[in-house]
Amino acid sequence: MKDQHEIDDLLRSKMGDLRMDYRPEYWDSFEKDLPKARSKKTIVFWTSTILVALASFTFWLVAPNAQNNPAPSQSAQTLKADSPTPPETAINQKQLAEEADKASIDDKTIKIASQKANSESRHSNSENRTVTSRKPLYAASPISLESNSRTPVETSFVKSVNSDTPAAYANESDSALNPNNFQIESLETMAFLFSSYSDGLKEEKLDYYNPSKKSTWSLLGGAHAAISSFSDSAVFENGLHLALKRSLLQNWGIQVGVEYSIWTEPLTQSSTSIEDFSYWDVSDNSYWQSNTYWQNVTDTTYYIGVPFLSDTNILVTDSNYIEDIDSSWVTQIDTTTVRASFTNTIKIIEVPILLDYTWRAQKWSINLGAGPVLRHVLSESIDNQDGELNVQKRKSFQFAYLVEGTVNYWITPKIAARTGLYYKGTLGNEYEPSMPVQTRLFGIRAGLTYRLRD
Amino acid sequence: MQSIEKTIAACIKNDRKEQKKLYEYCFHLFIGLCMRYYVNKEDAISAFQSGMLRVMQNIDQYKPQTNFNAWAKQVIIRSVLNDLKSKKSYREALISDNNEHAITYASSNLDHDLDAESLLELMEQLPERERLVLNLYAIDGYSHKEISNLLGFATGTSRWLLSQARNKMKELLAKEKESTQKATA
Repeated sequence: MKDQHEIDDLLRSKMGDLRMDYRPEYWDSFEKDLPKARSKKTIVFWTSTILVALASFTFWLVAPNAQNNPAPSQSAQTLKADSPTPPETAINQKQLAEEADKASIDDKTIKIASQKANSESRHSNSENRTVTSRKPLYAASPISLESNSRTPVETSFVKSVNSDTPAAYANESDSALNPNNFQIESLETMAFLFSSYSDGLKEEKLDYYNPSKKSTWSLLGGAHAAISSFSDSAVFENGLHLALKRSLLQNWGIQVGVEYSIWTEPLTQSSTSIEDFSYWDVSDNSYWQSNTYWQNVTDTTYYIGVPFLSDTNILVTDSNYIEDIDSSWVTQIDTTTVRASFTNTIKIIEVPILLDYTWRAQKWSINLGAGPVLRHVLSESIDNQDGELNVQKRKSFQFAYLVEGTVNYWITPKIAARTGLYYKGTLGNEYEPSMPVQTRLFGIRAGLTYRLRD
Repeated sequence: MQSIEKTIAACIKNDRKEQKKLYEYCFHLFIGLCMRYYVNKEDAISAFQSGMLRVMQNIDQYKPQTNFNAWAKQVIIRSVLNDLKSKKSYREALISDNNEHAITYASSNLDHDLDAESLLELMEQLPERERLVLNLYAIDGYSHKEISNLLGFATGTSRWLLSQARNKMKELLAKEKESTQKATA
């Protein structure tokens, strides 16, 4: 026993003297593994840059552009002069002029008659516009933008439903509208979303000696593109028939956002796993190590994102007037078809503020998130009736709410398959703020997650 | 070194300069510790790097006004143990340990003038887990209960390994002394 203590004393006294010369390259090597240090100057610089970029982009979106978008106050004639005249309209005007000649009306009268005809044409088509002004319902923002998941590549299938029930139109003056036909709408969207995190979550390996609570800031950004298809038709009691061709909607957007995560990694081992952790068993000359354990990880993520969305929807309508239309109007313009197009552009800045909670167990993780979405909507409608433009712009602030649930399965430490449900409801109509129409959007999203960093 | 608390506070803020200071400070303190657990220096340095990374990553868990050296040492030792346990060669060594022949122990005579490096060379001849327990118990001051918790075996096993390690060290010391005497003669 004495010898044994002497061994211990010898080792204790001698081994404390073990030394190794320090070399600067040790630190250089070590430094590479440390998280990148960010100086205050760098943080201030990037924060300022991002804010300026956001402000500039917002200004670009919101500020009126006089050159590209003529103001609504401009007269129709001025706009018409700038626009190429469609052949059919030219023929109409020619016919109108011939009729005026026959009636021995001077040029001034012809011009007035022409203006009147155009005016009435606009008036007639104003019914059309009444319809098409509601048509932007088609353009309900079709894809899910509020992803705060680690989802560089994602395919979403989202269906949009508008709760524009007949009751919604009951108070409208145009009660002749047949809502049953008008309401039919279908959207399917494929979205490709790429997001990159400047500083992703650090997923530390299990370390049983120091379970700790940590928080991480992440910047995320990405872009998406989507194609939607829709079809619809509407028939009115006054006999006006509006047929919309099946069309494609183009949709694109960019996303930037901030994610703040609070996460903990407590290790809870069942009694069996602790026992299994027995590293070896000398008595029977066997050893084994169990790597099986339950890792209960909770993430709480506060997410503020600023996705910019631009929907550009172009609706082309063929309006066919049948015989019971105003006969006096028919006699003035000898045509039964008017070419009309309606272009509606919507730019939306959405700021979802989500509280996200994640449960993880081994290779599975379940994520639930919900929260309000602040929206700034700028819509611009260009109604082209035979080359005559009518431009309307609207701005509005709205609220929406968003709920999403996702299940992830980590195929490898870096790749996960994900699928989930998504639901977003808007409060108010982004096109006609006065209309009590709400857009609901729900869908299933599926995709692959590739984690850029460990 | 300036107040360790100030340095630690700066390290939490990811101040690279202070992190380097702390690294150098810990290097001189703990590199010897790592050398005791590994056969070659490269492994020891690698283990120290891993341990220091743990220290840096978890430095916000350090409670001010407590003994930083003790806390850091604990973190590094645990990191070393995790590393050792994950190594295949280490696990393979466990099997070979049990197949060793009986050792005839030399007489007790420990009046050696061996320096630390020579002792280290002798320790490196011990089977890994015996060396590990000897290190933990005799030098780093862990109790058998703590060792059993750290390494996941019974306290009896820890005692047995320690006993084996001591006996083998005695034999190695005796052999070393004998060869030294022959060389002198």
